[in-house]
Amino acid sequence: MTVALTRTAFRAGTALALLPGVIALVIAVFGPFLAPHSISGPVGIPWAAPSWGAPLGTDFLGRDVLSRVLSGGRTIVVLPLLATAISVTVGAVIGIVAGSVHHWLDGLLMRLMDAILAVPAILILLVLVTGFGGGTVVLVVVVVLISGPFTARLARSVAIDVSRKAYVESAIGRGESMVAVLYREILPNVGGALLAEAGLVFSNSIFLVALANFLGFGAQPPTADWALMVAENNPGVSFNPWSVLVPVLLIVSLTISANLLADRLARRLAGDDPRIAVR
Amino acid sequence: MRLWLSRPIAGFLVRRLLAGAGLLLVVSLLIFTATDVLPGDAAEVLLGQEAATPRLALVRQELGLNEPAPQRYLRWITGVLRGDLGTSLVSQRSVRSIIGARIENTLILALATGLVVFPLILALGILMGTREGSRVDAVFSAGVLVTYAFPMFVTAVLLSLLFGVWLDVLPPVSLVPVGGTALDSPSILVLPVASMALPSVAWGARLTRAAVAEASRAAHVEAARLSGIAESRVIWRHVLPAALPPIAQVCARLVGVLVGGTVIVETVFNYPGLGLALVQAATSRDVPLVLGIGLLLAAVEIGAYIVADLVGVLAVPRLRAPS
Repeated sequence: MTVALTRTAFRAGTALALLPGVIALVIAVFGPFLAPHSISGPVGIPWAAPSWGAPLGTDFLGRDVLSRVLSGGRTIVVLPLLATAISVTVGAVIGIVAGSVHHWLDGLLMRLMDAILAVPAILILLVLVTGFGGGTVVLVVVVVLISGPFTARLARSVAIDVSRKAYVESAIGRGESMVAVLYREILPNVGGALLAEAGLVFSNSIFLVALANFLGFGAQPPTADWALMVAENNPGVSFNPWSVLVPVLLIVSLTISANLLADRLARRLAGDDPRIAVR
Repeated sequence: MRLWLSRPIAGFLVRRLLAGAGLLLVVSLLIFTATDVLPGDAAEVLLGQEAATPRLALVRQELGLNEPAPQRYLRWITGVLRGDLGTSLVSQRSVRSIIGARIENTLILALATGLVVFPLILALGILMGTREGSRVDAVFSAGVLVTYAFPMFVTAVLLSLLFGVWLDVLPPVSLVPVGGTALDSPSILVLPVASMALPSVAWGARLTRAAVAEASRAAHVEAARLSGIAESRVIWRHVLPAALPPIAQVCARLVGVLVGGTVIVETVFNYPGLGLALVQAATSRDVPLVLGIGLLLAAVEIGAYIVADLVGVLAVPRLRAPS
């Protein structure tokens, strides 16, 4: 009875935590089809207050804020998903390989991870932007460089535990190939930890993509993007607060849900495993 | 007794400093390579619109860009070791003088934030961690989780809208008098410090809570409680010493969070510090300036980890053995 109740409460809590994010997600995916105006043509004077024609007013170039809000959620949703998938895969492969081979490659890979972790995250972003200019590919690489080493460390330590288990040793004893052992014996048992890790990487990469767009290194004008809209319209926030507040509200809806989801996922899958730590 | 204790610690410190210097060298190589792989070079940034003219070859020659990359790296890094960080491509001033003119403002901002954040992290972490699972813990943990979910630039924009524009009680833009520092008009510090402090406190309190909770679960802590020792004494004498090494690591990572934080809030409030200079340099692809400020920030972060390791070693002698 109590267990069932706590379970229901847990599920209700999770659903409630996910609600704002789901709303933002729906707007990001279906919004572009509902936009009443073009995202690039002016409909009035800059930073005009809300009116019938433009319910959320206009932005710094006189464009319709509502249309731009409806169209501006794609990068902040798609890019973190893509970056998380690549980052966790790369990190997991490096970590599992490092943790399963017992020779110089382990030391080399992990020292390289240490060196990358020693670079402040914001510096990785700014240095790569300096070298390669902004853009989506650079942002994905930045996420991989920032989060990948953490994932690799985690995957390595879990893989070391797993690779000492009897079923792995017996598989090696049967003469199975290295790849078969890694894929069939070690990966499935590292999976739970990696899923919890993916939740963390995803919520962190939303922060990073939003920040990069805000600083002007990601989505480029005239693209509509929530974080870029905050930066563009902040100077005129006293004239039309909605041009800043609505994009902010949507970004926060997304980050709150992603954070709570990552937190719940980590608790559920990892329990008290100290290796999966908030960061 | 003193000699016997201090020798291993001195050895530990020397080893860590050497390792830190080596790490910084690797980082310098990484960031130099990252800014150097694309064909677009400093001469094009320098000439801008005129890049298509014959002057390009001349400027390349002047800047030594025709040398192979390893040679250019060696020239840059030996210059850095002599204290010469090169010249900004955009302003034509020496990187060292640009850093010198702005470092004070950033230090003021970071130290002021640190003074707010460190005690709060400790207080909240102990408050939540020693009462793991209680209602107090649940309420504060939820508050911390939600606060942390606000990206720092969003917090900064919202605070500046609320207090700078609507309530109009604090300056939404940081105007520092020419030749002065942020301390000449302290009111400009309030909003940037608050914007950095909110997410940093939330982040750090979460990690400190975990460290304190972990230490509170130890058998000797329960034994101390059961034998009737006062709760405050249990916390100070039994929980905190065990939690100190992880807390020191949290503080070291907090330095990294503050490094990133200064970049973000300086941009939002137009605060004339190193972070704003770094963002502007990255936008205009001013490579020498990015490398100079970047290397400095990396050195600060690596230094913070060495200090944290030292604190850990002083608190737990077992960690002193070379690993």
